Amino acid sequence: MVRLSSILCRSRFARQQKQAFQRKGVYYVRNSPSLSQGILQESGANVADPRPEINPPPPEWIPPAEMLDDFRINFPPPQDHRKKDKSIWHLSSRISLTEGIDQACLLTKTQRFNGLPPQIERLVDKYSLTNQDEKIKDVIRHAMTWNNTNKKLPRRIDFERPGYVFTREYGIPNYKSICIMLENYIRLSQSFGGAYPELTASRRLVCKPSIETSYEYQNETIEIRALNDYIVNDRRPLNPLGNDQMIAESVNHELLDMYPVSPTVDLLRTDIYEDLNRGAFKEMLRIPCSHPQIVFRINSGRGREANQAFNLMTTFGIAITEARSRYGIGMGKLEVPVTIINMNISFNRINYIVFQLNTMDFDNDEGIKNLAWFDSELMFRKHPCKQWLEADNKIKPAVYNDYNKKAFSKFLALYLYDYVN
Amino acid sequence: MMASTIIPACKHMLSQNLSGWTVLAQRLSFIRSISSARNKELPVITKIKPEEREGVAPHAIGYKKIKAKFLLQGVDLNKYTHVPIPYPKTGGRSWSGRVFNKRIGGGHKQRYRMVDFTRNPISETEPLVEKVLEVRYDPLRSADIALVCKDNHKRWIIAGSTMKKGDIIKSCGEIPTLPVMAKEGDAHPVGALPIGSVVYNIEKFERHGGVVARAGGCSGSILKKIGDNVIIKMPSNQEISISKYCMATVGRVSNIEKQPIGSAQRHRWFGVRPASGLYQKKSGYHGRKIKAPKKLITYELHTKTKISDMFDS
Repeated sequence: MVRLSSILCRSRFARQQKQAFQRKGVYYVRNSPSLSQGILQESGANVADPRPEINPPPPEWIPPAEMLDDFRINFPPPQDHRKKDKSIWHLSSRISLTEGIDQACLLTKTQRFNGLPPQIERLVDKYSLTNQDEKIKDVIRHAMTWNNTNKKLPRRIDFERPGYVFTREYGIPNYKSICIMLENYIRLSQSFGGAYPELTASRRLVCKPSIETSYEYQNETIEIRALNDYIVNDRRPLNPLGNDQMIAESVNHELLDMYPVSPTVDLLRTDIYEDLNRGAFKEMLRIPCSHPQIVFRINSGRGREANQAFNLMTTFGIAITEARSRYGIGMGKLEVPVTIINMNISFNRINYIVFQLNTMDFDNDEGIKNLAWFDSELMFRKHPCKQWLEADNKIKPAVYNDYNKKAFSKFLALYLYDYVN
Repeated sequence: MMASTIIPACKHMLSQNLSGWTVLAQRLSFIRSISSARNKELPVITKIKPEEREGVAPHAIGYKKIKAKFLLQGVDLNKYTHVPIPYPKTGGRSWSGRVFNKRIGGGHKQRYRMVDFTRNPISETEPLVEKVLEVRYDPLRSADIALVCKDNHKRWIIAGSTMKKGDIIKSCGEIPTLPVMAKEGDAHPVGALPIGSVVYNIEKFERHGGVVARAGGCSGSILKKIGDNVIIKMPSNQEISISKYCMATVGRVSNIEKQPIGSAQRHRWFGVRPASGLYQKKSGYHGRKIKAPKKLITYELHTKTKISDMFDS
């Protein structure tokens, strides 16, 4: 029971007061006239009000005619003293070329050859490690199953059975396994240093080198930017693979005709502050071991054609900076060509490029061309589990087969070129 | 008593020349500045007169309405890009949040690729030559679309039935005395084409972009030529007369054999919700109503100020 009290039973005037004030408004109640005031009025004396003199009223506020801008939104633009004068065509790993390798050959003015050059083809299967195939199979097992990373993998889509919902898989991501494979391939090929000490004495492996270069192609500047994974430098450059006869015959080679499309169609039009020419290691590292020889790069899930095209552009960028550091700017035909090897690795495929820079003249498509050899090998095949065919509808580990021993032997031949007979 | 309570609250305001008005004014200015900032970025699309056509990009001349979906993202449709833009779903709701269509909702995520319906030549004598880089499916229309390129400019157009990668297509502006032998996929003025030819992506007004026969498998045909006008049969069997300078592409629109939707569940993937209510099937007992054929429609640009000036004296 609620106990009756005076507080409970009181009448509440607060709401009534509020409503009354809302209706009638708030006002001062004047004091009632006093006796002294009446006497003063009768006597005829002037009575002044002292209150405004003692406590003068504040001046009236006038709203401004124009409102000021709000600093939270209408802030001034950032002041940049540099000027974006130059407009260029930008190329990076996000951009893929529509015509593939042929378009890259057109931009770099190169003649294309399929297969490795004969000097390197001779070295394939000539040199090998003891128990080479088993060692490389171990590398693949290490990368695919033995490594203990257990991360969330992307959801699988099978075009044989579209719409089927797979159970979530945990394991080694593709990028991680490619990294493990590449590191081990390099390590195994470095083990030839015992037999050929020049490999360990003068060569040096650099991790994550970047390139920022630009060159003039038919009255337009093209900028190449890329981040490679490894690069092999040496005290001396590699010997060129194409002889003088091949270079002379390259005059007759005709490049791709892309009419009515421009060769710079896929590149990005941007404005830049300044021209960069980074990629030559002479200035960056300040060591005698400054000539780039072999570039290693991990591909990011595109087709073979697109990957090879972009890797040709990056090797070309490194070759340009190397040529500039050797012979200076504004050279036409080079005295000794610059040769650089590129090996880019995908999940189960190794692509090879051998590039030779003969000219630095890109004003027109006539004259001597550069040379490039392209090749690629499949290392193995992966057969993922078809979950809908299993009896208990549970996911099983994938099957790996079709091991190709030629893939690593080509890798080794390119690594040992110019250091073995 | 009340006066004494109000005065100290106001004292602080009065000492800093602040009042309730200033606070209100500040808030108002904040709101106004937001709205003004938005208004500055808004792409204003109006029906453009031929005199004011110079500053506007050719693909945007035919635009009539603003699409509220793209306004929120700050996408200006007057600037052309071939890069796909995210296409947010309405769920059948309008700007204010009210339902305007109950049958819209859900579906697969889609992206908008700007389709350029114009096929303008460079000049009357010089044709525009383009190369087809890609032909692909478009989620927002029944027809396929093709990526074409000239020099460094890429754009999406509606693909013809025989268009494939590597083709070279032309858009000409010349009207010779004898009708041209047109190739499929090429664009010509309607006056230049022979009578009976099958065309798609037909313009109603010259240089305004194609409007007629753009859906998958559609096509119109040229019937007659009277003076400076050409009479065309639309896919709906209605006849229109347009100027002979209006552009049209030769052939049919791609995706002729459309895949049937098949099931109610597949209908949901396209963002269509089920229809509620019983559908009463018509018996056909009372027969079909026979209607008179529709009248011919003529389309003309309002180049003159007075309507009376447009007729011959």
